[in-house]
Amino acid sequence: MRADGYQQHYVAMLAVTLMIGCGEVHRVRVIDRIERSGRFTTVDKPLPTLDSIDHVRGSVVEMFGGASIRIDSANPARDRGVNRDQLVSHPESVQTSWVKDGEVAVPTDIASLLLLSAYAHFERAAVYFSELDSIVTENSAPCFYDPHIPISDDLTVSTVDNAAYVPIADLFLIMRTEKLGDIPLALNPGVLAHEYAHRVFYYELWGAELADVEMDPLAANLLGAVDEGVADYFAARIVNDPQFTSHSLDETAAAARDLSTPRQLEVAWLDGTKPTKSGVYDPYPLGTVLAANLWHLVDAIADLDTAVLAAQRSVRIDLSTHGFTYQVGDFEIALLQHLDESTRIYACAELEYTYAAAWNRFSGVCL
Amino acid sequence: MIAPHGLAVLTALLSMVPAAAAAADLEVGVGVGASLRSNSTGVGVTPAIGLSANLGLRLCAELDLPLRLEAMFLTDTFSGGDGVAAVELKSWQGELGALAGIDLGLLDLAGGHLGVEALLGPALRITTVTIRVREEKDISTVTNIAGMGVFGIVYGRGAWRFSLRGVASAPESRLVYMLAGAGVQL
Repeated sequence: MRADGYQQHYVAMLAVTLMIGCGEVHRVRVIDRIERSGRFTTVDKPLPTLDSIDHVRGSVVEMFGGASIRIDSANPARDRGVNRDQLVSHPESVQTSWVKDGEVAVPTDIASLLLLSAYAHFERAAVYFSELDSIVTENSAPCFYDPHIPISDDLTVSTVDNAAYVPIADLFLIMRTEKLGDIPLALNPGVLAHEYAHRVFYYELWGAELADVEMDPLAANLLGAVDEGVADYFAARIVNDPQFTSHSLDETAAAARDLSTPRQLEVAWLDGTKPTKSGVYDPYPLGTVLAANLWHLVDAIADLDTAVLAAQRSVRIDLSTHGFTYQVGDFEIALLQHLDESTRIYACAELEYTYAAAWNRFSGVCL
Repeated sequence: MIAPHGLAVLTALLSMVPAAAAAADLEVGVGVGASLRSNSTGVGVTPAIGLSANLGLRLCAELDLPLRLEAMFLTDTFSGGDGVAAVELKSWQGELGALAGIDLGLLDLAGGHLGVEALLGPALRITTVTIRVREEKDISTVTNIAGMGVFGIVYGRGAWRFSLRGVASAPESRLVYMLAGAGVQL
């Protein structure tokens, strides 16, 4: 009887083990920021748009490793990623390592944790923009993790400790973390929401037709600043954190992008030649003026997100109508035109001080 | 489908041990070598030190059958983490396999005999994953049933048995072990 008892216990224990090993995966363990406390921790998230946990492939992005990316002014890429294969060589399908803990997939190496967390953060941004009725492309964008980027003379992106969206080629890059002491960029939901917002900007403002645009370089600088500002604003909205860069960047860099700090437009920035960093135009200071102002308006204007998207579409029409010229304030004016009168009066009053350097341009919309 | 079959095979193997032990060579052994884990980024492999311990039962001597039963425990020294200070992931995996297969002597060599072995069977796999984010740790321990396969070249001399083995298990594992082992008859 005793032996039978042990045997039954043994079989029952194995049966439990088998049950644990079977069943479907419904959630994935990733690293995310808890909004209420602000701390980063592990979270078991359902990822409804993820088709393959093994290859981190879904309707939002598909992850690749090992690629070599050519980024220079002579690249042959066409809009919407056409000819992307001439820009990207040797991409390898990723193959995550994970175990099933009940209905949760738990990554078992750091690269799998980074890749799956990055997908979760991209998905969150995609869902947010989908709910705003943003232009949704049917194709997911590729995201190249830890790519090799040959140094070229006109390369303006950092090849380590960085994340980027490359319009025209319609692809994301997540570079290797080397010096960052805190949360890696792939694990920072605000950073990846920022990159996803660049993709929305490419589709909304440029209509995904940028390759053949011939534009004054200074005007392009100013629109680059708008792109960065709108991306920072949406990133802060999506993760409800105006200091999202502070979790990954050093204190000085993060303070310069802190949207909770009021910012003012400087006269020297109006012509698109300044500010500069390491000899090239730096779009972030002007972009942060826009982002911080939008952030300060958000509590008072319920449909501000919709107006920001509508402003992108209006600027697209203006650009194609007026020969691709752009001046500081064009985007903000388009935004104000999409607000109802009472809200516009409020927004004008808020912007008058921070945009004093170019306020004469607002006279048509802010009487 | 592996799991129910695995249970049946394991039960059968365990029931055979007491009866077979009296008529066969019981042997204990250890192995050391490399484990190769293909990287999740799709590029390259990460090597580590692989370790094994095994309890083997060779039926050939008394029953004139080239059969071998073996219980084998495998683990390696792998721990993830790529220098990101705020986030660290460590994992440990151990597998206890109950294997059966052939152990075939092919030719006499230098006072011993050279042969091959091929074993298959179920394995109980235990995986522990520790994810640290800043000061906070999350620990998961998961058990599941896998299939394990061993192919080796064997040299036996007297009470000693030396082997060079390749070991792999599936599913949900991208580990391949290459082990050099030595065993002695009890």
